[in-house]
Amino acid sequence: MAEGQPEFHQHWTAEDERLRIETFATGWHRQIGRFPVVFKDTPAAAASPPQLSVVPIRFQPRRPKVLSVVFPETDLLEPSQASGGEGADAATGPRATDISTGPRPPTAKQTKRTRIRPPADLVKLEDRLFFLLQPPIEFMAAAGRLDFPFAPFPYQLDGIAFLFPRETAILADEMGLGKTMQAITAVRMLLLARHLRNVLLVCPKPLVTNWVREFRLWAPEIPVTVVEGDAARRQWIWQQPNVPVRIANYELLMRDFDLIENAGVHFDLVILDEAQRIKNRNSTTAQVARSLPRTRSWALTGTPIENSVDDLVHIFEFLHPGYLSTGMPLKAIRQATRDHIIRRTKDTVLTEMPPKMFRDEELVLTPEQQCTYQMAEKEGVVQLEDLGETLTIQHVFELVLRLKQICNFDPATGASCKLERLEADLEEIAASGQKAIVFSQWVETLEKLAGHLARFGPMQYHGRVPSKQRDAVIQQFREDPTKHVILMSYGAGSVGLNLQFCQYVFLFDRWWNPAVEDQAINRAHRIGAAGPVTVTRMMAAETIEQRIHQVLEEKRELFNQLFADGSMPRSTGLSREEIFGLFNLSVPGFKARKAS
Amino acid sequence: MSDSIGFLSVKRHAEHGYFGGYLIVNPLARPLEFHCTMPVRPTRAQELLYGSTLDDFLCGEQIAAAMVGKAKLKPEWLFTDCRAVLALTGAVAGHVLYVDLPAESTTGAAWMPPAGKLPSRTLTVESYRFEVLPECRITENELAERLQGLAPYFDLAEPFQRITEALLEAHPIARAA
Repeated sequence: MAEGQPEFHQHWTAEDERLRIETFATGWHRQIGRFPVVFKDTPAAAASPPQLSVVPIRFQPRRPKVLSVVFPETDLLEPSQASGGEGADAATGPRATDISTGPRPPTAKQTKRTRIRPPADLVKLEDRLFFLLQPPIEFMAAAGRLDFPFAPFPYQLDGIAFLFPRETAILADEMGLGKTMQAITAVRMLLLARHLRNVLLVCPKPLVTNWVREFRLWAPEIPVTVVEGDAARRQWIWQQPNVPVRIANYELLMRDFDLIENAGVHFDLVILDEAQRIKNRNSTTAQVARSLPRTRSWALTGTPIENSVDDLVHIFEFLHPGYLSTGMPLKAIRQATRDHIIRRTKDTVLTEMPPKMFRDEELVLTPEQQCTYQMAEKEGVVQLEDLGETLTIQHVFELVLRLKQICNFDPATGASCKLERLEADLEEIAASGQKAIVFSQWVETLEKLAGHLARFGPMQYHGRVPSKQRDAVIQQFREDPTKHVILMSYGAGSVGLNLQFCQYVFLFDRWWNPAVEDQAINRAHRIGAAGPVTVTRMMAAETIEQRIHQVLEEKRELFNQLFADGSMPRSTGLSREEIFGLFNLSVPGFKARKAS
Repeated sequence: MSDSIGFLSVKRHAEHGYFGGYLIVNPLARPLEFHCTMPVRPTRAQELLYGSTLDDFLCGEQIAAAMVGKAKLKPEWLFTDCRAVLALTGAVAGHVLYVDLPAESTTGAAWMPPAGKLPSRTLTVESYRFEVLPECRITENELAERLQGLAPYFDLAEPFQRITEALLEAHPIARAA
């Protein structure tokens, strides 16, 4: 040991115990817990306890801050034992599957879980967490013992999860994907969870019975009241406080608006079916719909844009007044509406659905038709030109309609190239036991066809068939094997009907709007379709029909661009230049109105 | 003690620290309460003091205890997907069970699982593997009986997915990282 250096004790001695050593009790530093070291023969150490400096470290007993949310326990009501038993004509999956049955071990992993997401415009964190923390839709349905007559498709559950938390929503699925079922199930779950108590559904008059039937099928425990009868009865219905679901048609709604106002009723939810009915902002229908006192607003439509983007803007006037405005850039509209609209197409969600095949039949007019057509067009154009500055777009439309009628039938002789072709096709269809739908925009055309097609057992479904007889017509057409063709007008037959047992659709003449044509075609090409659907679009070659076809294709392109790839369309509607351009006419300045 | 069931998760974020979420559901899996903590970052002193047991201390004694203390309902069964939360055992009246679940995908969040170091014993029921601290007296039969009492669709992994999403909703900072 070097001189002057203290000697270290290697062992604890009695002398050492007299020294006070303070150590930490925290175990903070392992070295502090080592064997104490003291110096021997150091006078200061021997004379008094060493002055060790102590550095206390105190931990705050502070707990982490906690955000807490308590949710109301909303037990689902037990549905009644009532159960629908309609045929397999709904837009649904396989029959008789109940997602609430079939006990599984708790460990079973489901392949698909459909979660509710809060809408983007829901601001409060507590509200967002409420929806986010809900169990998957499949669990909720099972917990509420909600029986479904058919197992919903996954995309339908997505639609239900989309509607469930939203105050404003457009369900814009392509026709035939089951918008009705999705809306009914969302309403059912919201009613059972007591988020809703008072729902008003507005639909076109011919669809009222369809909605009642679908409610019976998909929500048998929910009482549904159809608003109908004389004024006194309707007033009584509007005044009833405990009606979970009322169904009214658009015309009646306009008539009864005063009754609704006087009744002081407030709806928790108003659903507009075929919401394109309010695309015209200034129409009485749109105004009345916007005036309905309500908390939630949903719109169902397969064609949120029929003519121009303004259609969508005007539907939003019902959902969310002022949210969109005419003239907004398409990109901005797309951005603003993204969280409010859900749209799926058959191509994307029904990969196993039978294909839909289009045949564009360009038929050469019969000599009689050719003669009449050329004369009519020539004279018509001359007349239009003679009108000069007084020419309006209405004059042009009148000529279009006259020429289209000639393309259907020669007015003098009744000759028709389209009829000849239709008869030939129907021979084959009837021989194979199949059924077909023929659409025309004129009841007169349909009645003429009925006479010529008598051997195929034609049924008729159009505006001259009383509403009360229409269900029976459809039923007979479906069940009677001798009825091979149904003749429908676009107006009466293009919405809400399930005719998926038909594999052939004929568009005897073309509607101005492709969306309406799609609606018509999708009566047959919808979920449950028995096989491929062949759509024959008839048009007379080198006539106004062919020119209109080109315009229709451009409009179809517009729709696809807004809802598919997001690029800007070349045009948002038919310009008056295009209308007049059908006859190579120049636009007479201020006299013409925009057609769309 | 209510018939509700607790699901408690603590996640460690690479940048922002520890996030706790506690979801109490009824037997039908519907939410009754949700609690989450603000992000917790351990101090340097805590890191030195607790060393490898830091996760047990933070997740179990700090975060989990804080959330359980705030809850109005006191479930008899508390499941966690974070092993370190087992340190809560003894501080609550009910059973605390770690469920060994396959790693979930937490899109957009840089989560890392906190590691628990406390000794445990394993219970296996159905296809689930559980761990409890030795002082927890629960048996496999009791646990199996409890699980059988749940709704047939009940899946112990599913509520943790909800917690993860709720944490990301409550703390967008974790989503952005």
